[in-house]
Formats: sequence, C-alpha cells, structure tokens
Amino acid sequence: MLKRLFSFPSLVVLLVLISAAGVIYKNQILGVPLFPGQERGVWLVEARISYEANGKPVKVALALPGEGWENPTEGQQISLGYGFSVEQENGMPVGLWSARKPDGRQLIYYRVRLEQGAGRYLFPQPGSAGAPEVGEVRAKGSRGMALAALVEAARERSADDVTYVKQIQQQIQNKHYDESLSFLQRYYEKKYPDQWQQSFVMDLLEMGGIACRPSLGVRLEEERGAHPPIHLIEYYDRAENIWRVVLPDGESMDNIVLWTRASNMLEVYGGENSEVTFTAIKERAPAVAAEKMANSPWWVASISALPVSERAPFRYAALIPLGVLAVVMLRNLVGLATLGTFMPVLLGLAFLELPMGAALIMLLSMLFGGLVFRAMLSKFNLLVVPRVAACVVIVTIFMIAVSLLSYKIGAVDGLRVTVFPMIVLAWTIERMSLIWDEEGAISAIKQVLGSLVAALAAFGMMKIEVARYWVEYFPEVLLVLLAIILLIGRYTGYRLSELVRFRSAAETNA
Amino acid sequence: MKKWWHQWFVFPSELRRWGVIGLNERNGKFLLPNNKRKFYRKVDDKLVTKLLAQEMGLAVPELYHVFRTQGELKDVDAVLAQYDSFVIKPSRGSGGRGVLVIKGRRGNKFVKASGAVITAAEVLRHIMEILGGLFSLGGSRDVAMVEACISCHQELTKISYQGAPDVRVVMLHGYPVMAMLRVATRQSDGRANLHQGAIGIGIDLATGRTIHAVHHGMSVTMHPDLDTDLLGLQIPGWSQLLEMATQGYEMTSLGYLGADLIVDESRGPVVIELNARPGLAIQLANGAGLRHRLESIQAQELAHPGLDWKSRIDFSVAAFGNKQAVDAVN
Repeated sequence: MLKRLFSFPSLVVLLVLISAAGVIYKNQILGVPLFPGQERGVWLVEARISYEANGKPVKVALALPGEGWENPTEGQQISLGYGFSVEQENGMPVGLWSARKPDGRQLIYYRVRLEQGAGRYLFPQPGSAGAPEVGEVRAKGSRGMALAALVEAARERSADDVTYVKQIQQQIQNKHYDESLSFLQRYYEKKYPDQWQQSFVMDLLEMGGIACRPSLGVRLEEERGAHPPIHLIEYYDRAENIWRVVLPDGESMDNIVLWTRASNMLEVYGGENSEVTFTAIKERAPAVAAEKMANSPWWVASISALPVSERAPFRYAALIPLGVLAVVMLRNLVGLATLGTFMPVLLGLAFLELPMGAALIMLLSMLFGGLVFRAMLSKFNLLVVPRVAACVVIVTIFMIAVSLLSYKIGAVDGLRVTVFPMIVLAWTIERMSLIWDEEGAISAIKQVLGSLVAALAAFGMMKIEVARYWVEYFPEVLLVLLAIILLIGRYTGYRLSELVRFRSAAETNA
Repeated sequence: MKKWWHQWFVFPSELRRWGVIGLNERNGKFLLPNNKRKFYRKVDDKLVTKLLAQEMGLAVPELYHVFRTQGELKDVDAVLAQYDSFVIKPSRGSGGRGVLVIKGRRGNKFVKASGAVITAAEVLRHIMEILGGLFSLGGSRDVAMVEACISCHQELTKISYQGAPDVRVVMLHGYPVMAMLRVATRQSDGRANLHQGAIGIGIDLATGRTIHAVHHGMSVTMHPDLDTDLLGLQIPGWSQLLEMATQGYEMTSLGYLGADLIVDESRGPVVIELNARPGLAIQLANGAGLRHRLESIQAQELAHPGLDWKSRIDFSVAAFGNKQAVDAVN
C-alpha cells in the first residue's frame, strides 16, 4: 500500500492536487483572481526603519502618510517587542514605537497600500489662516549678489508664482554654463550635503517672496528598490491660494507621491545610526485579496508574508523554475545542444532586466571580446582556474567599458548590464574556446546559438504576464511545474532533433 | 521504399517501426535502470579501468607513468626521454578530449599523430592543463597518464586517414548488442569521433566483417579521402576482440556498456577504454535499430540470468549475426 502511494503516477497526481487545492482556496475563499486584472494597479509601499539600540528605552517616531493621497488605507506595522500607537502632531499623523530595553540592530517595518493615481499634489490653504509668512533669507556678500541676480532674472521672465518657480528650476539645470551658479551649488552642497537642491531652490523662492516649506515623498518604481525619502518642496501659490508640491529640480512628479507634509521623516530617541528606506512594489491582485492573503498563515501567504523589501528578489527567484522548464523541454523533447545545462536560464534572467536588442548586442560583443582575449591568453600557458578568473576580470572591464560608452553616446540601456552573470559568461567563453579548438568553429557556434535560443525561450517563459502573476500569488503552481518536469524525465520517445539525425536509417530500412 | 521526405527527416512512427532508439529511451529504459552510480567510477577514471582490466587479464596499452601533482612535472623530460612514442591522456577526460598522441621525435621536438611538430614546452603545458582539470567533467583536478602508443593493425590503418581506427562494442547485461569500427577522415583530423566527421562502419557480430558505413549520417561505401573500400573488410582477431569486450561486463558490473578496443599489430586487440554512456550513432553505422536486439537480450537475461561470457557471446552471435555470412564462411 505504502509503496503504491509513493509510486510515480501517484506522486505526480499528488503534486497536481496539492497545487490545485491551494489555487482553489485562494481563488474561492480569499478572492484572489485567477488572472491579473485590468483594474488600476495597487502599490504596496513599505518603510523600513533600522537603528542600533543599546539597551536603553527607545522611542521611534515615523511620519505617516496623511493628506498625501486620497482614501489612504490603514497601514500595518511589523515589529518585535514594540508598543505602537498613532498620534497627531501639528495635525499630521505620526507612528510611535516604544520599547523599554531593545538591544542590537533593530528593524521596524510599516507598510501601506495605495491606489495608482491617488496621489495629491495640491493643498488649499485653510481660509482662517490667511496667507503664510515668507521666511527670510540671510545671504550677504558675493553669495547674496549671485542669489539676487538669479531671482531678478527669474522674476523678469515670469508672470506669476508658478512660472517663477519654473524659471528658477530651469536656471538651476543650466549650472554647467554659469560660474556664479556653480559657485552657489558648491556652497549649498557643502552646507546641506543631502538636500542641497531643496535648500537652494527654497532660498531662491523665499527671496522671490514665495512662501515654501520642505516635505518628503516616495518613489513608486519597482526597479528602484529600496531608496531614501525624496526631498520635495511645497510652495504657496498666491494667485490660487493653494500649496503646490514639486521636486526641487522641476522633474515630473509622475512616479512620486507625497508621504508626509512634515519636514522630518524619522526621529529616534535612545538609538543610533537610524535610517529609513522605502520600497514600493506593484500588487497585481486587488488590494482586498492581497491584504487577506498577506494576513493568512505563512504557508498560504507565502511570498506576500514577506516584507516588501525582501519580496522583490523572491518574485524574481520564483521565475527560475519557468526558465528551467523551458530548458528541459528544449533539451529533452527538442534535443537542442547548449553550452552548460542551465546557463541559458541565467542569460534569460539577464534578458528580463534589459531591452532585448541591447541585451543581445551586449552579450554577443562580450562573448566576442572574451574569445579574442582568451585566444591571446592561450599563449601564456596559464593554468585553468587562473585563466578563467582572468577572463572574468576582462569580461567585467569590458562590461564597464561598454556601459560607459553607451552612456556617453546616450543609450542608457548599457548601464544595467551588471545583471549579466559574469562568472557564467566567463565559463561559457572558456568552454566555447575549448570546443572551438577541439571540435571546430561550426560546433562552437552551433552550441552558442543553441544556448541563445534556449535563453530566449527561457526569457519568453519568464516574461509571460500570467505566468509571473501565478508564481507570485499562487506559488503552489510550481508543484505543477515540478510534475511536468518529472513527467518529461520519464519520456522515452524521440527528440525532435533525432528525427533529422536518424534520417539515414531510411536508406537501409525503408 | 524511400520517400521524398527521407532526405530531410523521418517520422517517429517510422523510427519506431525500424527499432531505432533515441537518447531518452536509451537513458530511461536501458542506461539508468542497469548502470548503478557507484560503478561509474570504474569507467570514468581510466586509470582505475586500466588496473581492473589488468587484474582480469585483459590486454591494455602499457602504462608508462602517471603525473599526479604539479610538483612531479620537473620529471617530465626525464620520463618522456625513455620513449619514442607515447600517448598522454587525462584519466577522467570524456569524449577523447585531451588525448595527445606522439608518434616520434624530430630533434628536441615531438611529432604528433597528424604529423604536426610540437615542442617539449607544449607537451608540458598539455600535462599541466590535464592536471588543472581542463578536460575533466566540471573542471575538477585530474591526473595525466602516459601510456604506450598502440601500433594499429595495417588491415585497419589502410582505411583510415591518419589516426588509429577503433572498434566499439555495445553491450547489455554483458551480451554484445552491436559493434562498429570508427575510422578517421581528413575532416575529423585524426579523431574517431563521428560528430566530427569520422566514418562509422557497422560490423557483423558473427564474422567480424564490415557490413555498412555512414559518413555524416549518410551511407557510403568508399572512404572519401582514400578511395578504399569500406565494406566486406575482416577485423583481425575478431573473436578474441569480442571476448575481451564482453568481459568488460564482469569487470565493471555496468549493465549498459560500451567497450572501445584497438587491434594492435603484434598483440592483437587491446582495451582502450570503457564507456558507461555509449552513443546511438552505432545504429546508423549498422543500418539497424537497437531496440529489438536490446529487448531480446532483456528477455534472455530474465530467462537465464548470470550466464558466463562464452554463452553470452554464443547467444548474441546466433541471434544477431548475419546468418548467410556465417554459412558462407563455413
């Protein structure tokens, strides 16, 4: 009986059943849709506070999102051994964590969901308050004169507060051509290393008679990863009687939301080296279902139980089985020859991060450069491991060079080639040059092309939107992938390539 | 009846009818169930194979020396000075990789099988590369073997463009299944690897005569470079060769096994290496599929397990040999 239970077919059926049970539960009970919806996206934004505690009582205050966007959902905090409450400070919500004697490195997470396009960038001044006061800028000597000149130039070319601010921002962009500007920049960079642009622009606004204050925002870009809060400026538009939120350099606010209108993001009393970073990822499922799933036990929640900053790499890693499946199918059903079994999967992952054309050109030029260099190295009679290591170094240098070059000529794609698996590339070059020597150029090129085809197939598999959605919200479908791979492992029929390879059998048999 | 599509491909149903097996079937049905991992060491390490073969009393090329560490390389000149011709090979190389055949000397330099001349420094570097693991699977460290260079029988060298032809015998449960001769061409650069353009010639198990030949997957009757006949040739010392190959099963316990032998001018057949994953090109060389032979051996093994090698050869010769040819000889 037990033996029967562990037989191959029942194992496959079991895997499929477990997976199906998970999918049905999540779909029917938690309401996670089976396919990624067309509805507006939801962003999951997470603040990650870290600091060193040394056994003394600690209070941590983090500004929480309030007026920054419409219908804010309630945030969740994740911390161990802290009391948590939300207070109002000057009308703005602040999260307060407190603990009697934490010790060592501490981590606190606060996450909140936000609908795409719900950010607010205009705030009316309360009628009772009247016009806000304009701060006074004290600047004397050459700095005062340089600032005054900028203010004068901007005022001449503007009609109202909004155009004045735009002029100021534009002038700052031209800093390369103006000596007094670069002098000012050096001054502000020295005085406010973190947010020199913000302070610079605010001084210019206030000198122009416009009330303004600092505020802090978050960038909604998945590729950005963890980043510190973005410094923003709110200025008072006297004509419309509203506050406007802008980036100091005047860039578009498309991917930025205001987190807090307070000037201070984080305050830690009793700890050292405190830091807050933000990570934003897009939820592909509706907010309610995603919320329910995240609050389920870990074996249901799986990836969504993780802090957002840890989630991105898992999303990525969960795609690997898809690429592996593509390679297994190509090798065992089609019979494609590749260099190294799973090297194409790693290449496919690299392709995910880059535009296709750039990635291919990049890869081929790195392969070519590496081969040329490898041919040069072969004169020196190096031992294998140092030779491959030398190849890694050369490929790295080559990659940096291509990145710089493509940056200089304005193609930014080159900049992100760091995602290429360098070690794998170096071994590929080594193996390719060996095959080149031993079996000839045709065989080597054939295998490289085979690897490329496999990499593209793996890329194609990992790129499918539905597939990515499934491995993220229904990771149990990986068990189905496993079942398919197991089934392919038992396939004893012909490979596609063998139908061509064995064609001469027709001469004696047909 | 040859169809128009046979120039390009064949249908799976046709291959199945002809009994041709593919890699998946070889692995899934014959290789994996019959070859235990722990025995692979006996064939993947050629030094181990050689010692085992000597224990069994099988003829192998004489082992001159083994270089195991970089430190021993200072002796290379002294060791090689004793021999005019020799072969240097990695103990765990695969697919003929890293095999350096030295036929003779010219002054301080060495002459390769192809006639190319290389310096002592290049030979030393080759040994260093072997030790560094360049030719072994996964780049793990290896040892370099120096052994006698076999002078291949003239009957066979006359149909090979440089390089010594070798005979591959594939066995299941120690029963010979099929055999082929592999001869080099100009294109294969002295190597007997069919992928690189060598010719595969099927051999009748009963008589040891060549019956069918393929070059690049297409039937041929003449050597493309030498214009010699490839068919009807008698392999010298065939019955002895078959006996030695068959005993490879007793030696390794590997159920699915390939044995590579070379026929030496004076010593007769010698075992060069054994292979736990012999390829499928042998089907093309013989113009016949492996399946019905493998299946009838499976049935035979089930009915009479553990027969000695003599009875196994008798069975295979009777079952798979070309009966008309046998009658003609008798």
